[in-house]
Amino acid sequence: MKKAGSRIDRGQIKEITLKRQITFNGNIIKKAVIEIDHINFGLNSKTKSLNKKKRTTFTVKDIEKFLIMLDGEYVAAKKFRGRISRFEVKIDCPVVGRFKDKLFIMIFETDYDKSEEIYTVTLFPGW
Amino acid sequence: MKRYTNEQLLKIEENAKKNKKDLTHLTDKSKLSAQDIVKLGLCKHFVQFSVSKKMKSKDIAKLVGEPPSRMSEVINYKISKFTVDQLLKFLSALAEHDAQIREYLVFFGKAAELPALPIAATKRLTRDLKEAALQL
Repeated sequence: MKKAGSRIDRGQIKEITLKRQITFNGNIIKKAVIEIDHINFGLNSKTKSLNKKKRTTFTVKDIEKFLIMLDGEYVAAKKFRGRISRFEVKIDCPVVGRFKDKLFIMIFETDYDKSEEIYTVTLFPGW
Repeated sequence: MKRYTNEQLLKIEENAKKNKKDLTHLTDKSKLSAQDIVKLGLCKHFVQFSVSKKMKSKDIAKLVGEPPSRMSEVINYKISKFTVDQLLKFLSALAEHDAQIREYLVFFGKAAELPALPIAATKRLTRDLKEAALQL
């Protein structure tokens, strides 16, 4: 049987075209891949699977607002794996509601060979 | 893109939480003071240099002649730890290794030299600069 931690079952993954293209680290980004269930439920550190209860109620459109905040920014990557760069940033929530202006941590990746695409790994409360 | 396993992700999240204070903070710039905006703009050149030359902060630290930890703070936009003066000094040191930055500093100096123009002229210049930045 596969170990619980080696699974990659993290619910729905949405692929969207950004309503407004953004420039990040000098690259134009038009598409985003978003692990929406992972963002909203988070992973349980014991069972290593998605939590049962939602921690946030973001929609794909809300995540797009976070991504738009990257427009015009230059950020140094935290790690590299092959031609993929991983970025970790603190970001103030731009979504109107109970999380407005609260601090979140967003982890995302860009691929050198797919410079038009951004892969949002996770977004979680950082306070 | 190859996906992380749940275990790997938990580790990444945990590390990010642990090193939270070192991460770059993206915030709404409209609330920042003019001084902070200038500092952010200056820091951006170090990141741009690091991205375009594929250099790590410790390599840039060697070029600038500053400790790597200090350069890491610049690259992660810890602007409260620096004055505009210090950032300009670091950028001047980096300019010795990069023609693009050298030319930028000439431009920066000329812009600072400019006398205060009528409001309409300043607004026009600001708009032109924004447009030029978008076309890059």
